[in-house]
Amino acid sequence: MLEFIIMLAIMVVIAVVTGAVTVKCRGKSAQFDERQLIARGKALGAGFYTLMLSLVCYIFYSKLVENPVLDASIGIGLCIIIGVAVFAVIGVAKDAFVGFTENASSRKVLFGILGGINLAMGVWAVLNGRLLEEGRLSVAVLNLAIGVVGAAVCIGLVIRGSAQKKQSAIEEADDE
Amino acid sequence: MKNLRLKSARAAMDLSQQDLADRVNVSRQTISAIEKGDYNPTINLCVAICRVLGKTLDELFWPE
Repeated sequence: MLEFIIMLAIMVVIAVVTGAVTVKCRGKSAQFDERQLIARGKALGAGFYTLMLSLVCYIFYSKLVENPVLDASIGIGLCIIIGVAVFAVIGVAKDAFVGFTENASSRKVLFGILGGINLAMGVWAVLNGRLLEEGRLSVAVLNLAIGVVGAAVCIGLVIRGSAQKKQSAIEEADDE
Repeated sequence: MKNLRLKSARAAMDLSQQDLADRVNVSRQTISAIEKGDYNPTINLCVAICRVLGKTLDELFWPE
């Protein structure tokens, strides 16, 4: 119980810090143009339906399997992370994850740190044999999932940024 | 369908995609998507682009 409370407190701190950094980077209002807003709407929809589908899958899994490896908190947590991952991947792919007035570098650093810390915590748990506890997956699997998503978003932003720079150079050469 | 008229008008004014995007308050990727025909802008954005480029809606956006 104490471990859970400590983990919850850490998550709240990380969420507050992440939110504060995001608000600071965006300024008073995030500027997304109309194309980005449409893309974000589609990404949110895809994320929402993915979340619903994964929750339904988890419900069936928990009912059909006698001794489920995933308990409710871990299962639901994973479903949420999967939904958020779908939103993030589509958002990054459509250049709608970062507002056009925002500095993408700060987002890359933020997600890199977030992903890195969680991956490190997850890998530490795996190396210390704490991934499975009493035959069930522990909270460490959520750290691994968040780490993978964070790292993927960071890498995705870096790749898209590089691709956009190349495309911009090609367009400028084409104009000449 | 590609919007070559927009691209020509932009090039005639010696504006890059980023320059035009900054003037109409959108991202460079949006201007690129409009020129490639991957995105249909709203009427407000069309009007803003026309104002910057000194063209009419027919000249830039009416289907050929």
